[in-house]
Amino acid sequence: MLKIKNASKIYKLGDVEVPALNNVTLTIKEGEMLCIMGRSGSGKSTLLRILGLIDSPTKGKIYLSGKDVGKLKEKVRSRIRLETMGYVFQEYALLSELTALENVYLPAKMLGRWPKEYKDRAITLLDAVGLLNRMKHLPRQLSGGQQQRVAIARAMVNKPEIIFADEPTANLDSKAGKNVMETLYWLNKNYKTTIVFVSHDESDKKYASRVVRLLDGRIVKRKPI
Amino acid sequence: MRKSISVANFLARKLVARSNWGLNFMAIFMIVIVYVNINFTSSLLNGFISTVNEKLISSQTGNVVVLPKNSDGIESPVVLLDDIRKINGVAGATETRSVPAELSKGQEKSLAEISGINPSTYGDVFVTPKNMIEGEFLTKDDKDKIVLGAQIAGADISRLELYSDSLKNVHAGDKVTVNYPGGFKKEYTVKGIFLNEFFESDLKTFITDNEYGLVQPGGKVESINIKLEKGVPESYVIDQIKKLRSDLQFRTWEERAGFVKGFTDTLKVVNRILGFAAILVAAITIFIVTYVDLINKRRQIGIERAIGINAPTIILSYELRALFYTIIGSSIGALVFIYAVVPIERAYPFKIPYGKVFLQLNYNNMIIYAVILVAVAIVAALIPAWRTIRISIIDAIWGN
Ligand SMILES: Nc1ncnc2c1ncn2[C@@H]1O[C@H](COP(=O)(O)OP(=O)(O)OP(=O)(O)O)[C@@H](O)[C@H]1O
Ligand SMILES: [Mg+2]
Repeated sequence: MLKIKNASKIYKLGDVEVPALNNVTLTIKEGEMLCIMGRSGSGKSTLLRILGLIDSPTKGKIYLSGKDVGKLKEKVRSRIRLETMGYVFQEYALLSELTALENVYLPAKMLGRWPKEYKDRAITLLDAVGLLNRMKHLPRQLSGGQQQRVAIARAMVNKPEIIFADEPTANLDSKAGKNVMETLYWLNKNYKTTIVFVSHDESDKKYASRVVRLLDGRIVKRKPI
Repeated sequence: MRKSISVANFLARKLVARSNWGLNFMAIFMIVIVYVNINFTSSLLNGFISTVNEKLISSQTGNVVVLPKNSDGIESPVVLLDDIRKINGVAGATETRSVPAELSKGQEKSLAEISGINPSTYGDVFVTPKNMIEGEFLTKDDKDKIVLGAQIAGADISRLELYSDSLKNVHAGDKVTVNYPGGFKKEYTVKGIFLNEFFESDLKTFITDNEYGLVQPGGKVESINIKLEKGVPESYVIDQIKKLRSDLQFRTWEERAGFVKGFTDTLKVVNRILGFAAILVAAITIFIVTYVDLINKRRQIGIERAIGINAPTIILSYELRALFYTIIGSSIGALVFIYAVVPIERAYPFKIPYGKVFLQLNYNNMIIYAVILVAVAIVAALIPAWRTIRISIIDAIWGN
């Protein structure tokens, strides 16, 4: 469903060019739970952002359901993100002025597909991630793990075809991390939502249906030593 | 589009309700100050202009001056005056004849215009009879009496603008000599001295019309000054008089304003400049508030965009917030101005040589300023919001 072909990304820092991705080709299949692994700096986040249409590759193409979406205007990309994609960021990325519930339903309110029930959807999702009783809390009144679960509920609210999660457990202790990973796993199994997540914790492999490894911006077959 | 507005409205409300109250307070407070400031300067200058004009009208010109078309004076003035007084909206009318002369007391001499007035009607038009600082104003049967403006008498008030050209130390009860053109001389007793605090009118010198008839036999009425009731347009009364007589010409007080006109015109320009400056300050204030706030919100805005909230919606949310600040700020400002600043100033008015200056409340102006402020706020908030949106999502969320 989502495919990048010969994608490279070079960041320019003044005169210095930092290659972050090097000729990556990758296809994400519907319903899979793909784990991207690799050392720090290997380009995992860069790859995920390009897949998620938040960033563009310097070179290469990106197709969504066979359509080239690499050169689309930001207005259209924004719409695609809203309609078909969900994000869970590495750092807590809730809007600080909105309650947990408002954070979750904001994308649904924007999309407008459920003009009457968007709040109910959000409540159901908060219930599913076990945070019904934290609905009215602002992000600063929630723990890190709770915030990540709210972020997962938010990523889910528009029934996206695909959810991207960039080290969603990085800032959490192991128990909270497990909780978040299990939530994603449960989403994949129950809602058949495609999930692409980044991790450098080998034990997260068990949640994945497939693992892709990055080394210095390239996909490698084997776990590097 | 409708969705964008509704989401922007939702975000703006949460932005205001859940963000730092210090920021909200600051932003609104600044708008209040700016709004009160614009209204204050403009009301003050308008108050100033109106005080000066009021002085001019009440001591110098009346609302309308009637003059003869030829230089022979006004024909049958008694009938005309009667008819004028019958016109709706006329509060009073009085006639004047005058002749230039030299006044002297001992060594001191002063040039003045001697006006023969009707003491029974002069006070219907002018405040001068109420502004006596010594003695009394003329009455109908006064003989050999003269009333002097303070700028002529001097009256030992050395702060007067034209004191050095005056008779300096003449007081009520003193005797002064008037040298009329053609060599006729007459001594008068000073019945009173007035001070209108408007130097053109304080240069006047009055004798009764009977006295005037003695020194200038056959002298014709040269002008009639008319006072109108509040709100009556000058043009209406002029038209009515034109129906009565065709041998007259008319001047409104504004046409007679002379130096005052130049002065008030200057003030109006100053008023515009100050208003413009105040609006500029408002624009910069809103710009800074939005700008500083948006620097802190870059990451948040990046996240909003990453999850699919489009740029126009986000910009609109900050526009709505600016609109809210401006509307609340100018509403509070209006209340403060109407119910605090104006009444306080009314209780302790500013004093200028022409009298007390009262802030002139002008609701039209207040609305215009509020509308301008809102327009300015929209532009001032747009610039930083638009700049923030132009940063790439990556830099907004992960950059610094
Ligand atoms: N915005 C940026 N500007 C410049 N260089 C960047 C930027 N983002 C990433 N890089 C560089 O690109 C390379 C890949 O970074 P990326 O964040 O994709 O790595 P990562 O695998 O996600 O690392 P980590 O596990 O630490 O999150 C790194 O060398 C990094 O320094
Ligand atoms: Mg990363």
